[in-house]
Amino acid sequence: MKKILTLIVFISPLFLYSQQKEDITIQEPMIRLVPSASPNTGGFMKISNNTPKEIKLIKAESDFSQTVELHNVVFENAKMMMRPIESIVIPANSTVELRPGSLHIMFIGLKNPLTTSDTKKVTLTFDNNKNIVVDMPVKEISMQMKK
Amino acid sequence: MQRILFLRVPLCLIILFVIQCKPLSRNQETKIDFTLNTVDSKFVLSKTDKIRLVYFGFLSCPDVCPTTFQTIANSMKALTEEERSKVEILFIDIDSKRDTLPQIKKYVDHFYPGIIPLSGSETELKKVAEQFNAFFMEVPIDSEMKYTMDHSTRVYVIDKDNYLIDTIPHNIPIEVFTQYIRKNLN
Repeated sequence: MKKILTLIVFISPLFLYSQQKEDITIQEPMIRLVPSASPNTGGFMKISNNTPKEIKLIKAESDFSQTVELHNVVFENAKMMMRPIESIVIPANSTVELRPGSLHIMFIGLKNPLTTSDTKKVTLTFDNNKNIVVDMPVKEISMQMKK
Repeated sequence: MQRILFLRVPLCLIILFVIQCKPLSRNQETKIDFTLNTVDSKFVLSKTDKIRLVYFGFLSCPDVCPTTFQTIANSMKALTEEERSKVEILFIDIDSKRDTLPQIKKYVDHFYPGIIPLSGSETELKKVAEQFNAFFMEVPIDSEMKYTMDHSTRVYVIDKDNYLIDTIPHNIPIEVFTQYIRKNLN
């Protein structure tokens, strides 16, 4: 009995550790399927910051396009304006959604046409020196998500 | 179940609103008249037995343009064959520096067969956009893209006599977009 208790005492911290959330978690990553004549596409996901400190996404990299940038889309009087941005802020203990018609990762100069059977590896760099490699499936998107 | 009701009820209300909205009355209409380039020929906007959906966009647009074309394509598929035969879709590409007509055709063919790709000089395009009260502008940006095109996001509807009769807002559900088309067919 004593041996079992000792074992529990030693093992339980391991379980606790495994249940702890990562500092940053990524959900619903996807890349928009675009026609082969389109040189660029957008990437979307939900980024959760599970720490009590603000984190910034400062860079995204991938090898399926010439360049990767962070962009935002602004709508004003039924006009669309897309602009590059330096970083995407994820406030403490919050989730930021990169979605169509809003913040997105912009893949510029696609090297090959995309298909819905593709999944692309994208490396995200945050200002807390964390790098996360995300598998992003290519999907057809017919309507923008709610704003 | 509650979630389904929550989503369906507002959608029904929007569709009802669209049905209730009549197209613009005659005295509010603008007659559209233009000639632009299409693949290997000129496209003259002439009288037809169809309504036309007109959209201004560009191929490097990663977001709003593909979303709109996907919505148009899905709405066309939702129409009956007879309804579909009464609708023609025109894509006016506003990035004449970067986009060529064969590329534009390849782009629109991806979404739906038969969309007519159109292009012209910046001056010609500005004149056409003015008739629709549409907007586009080249904007330099600090990006590998060098510049982007700010542009109107609406889909414009012109009738068989080339009068502008309606505009369809961006980012609406496919059911609502389809209802806009049907309303203008009647």
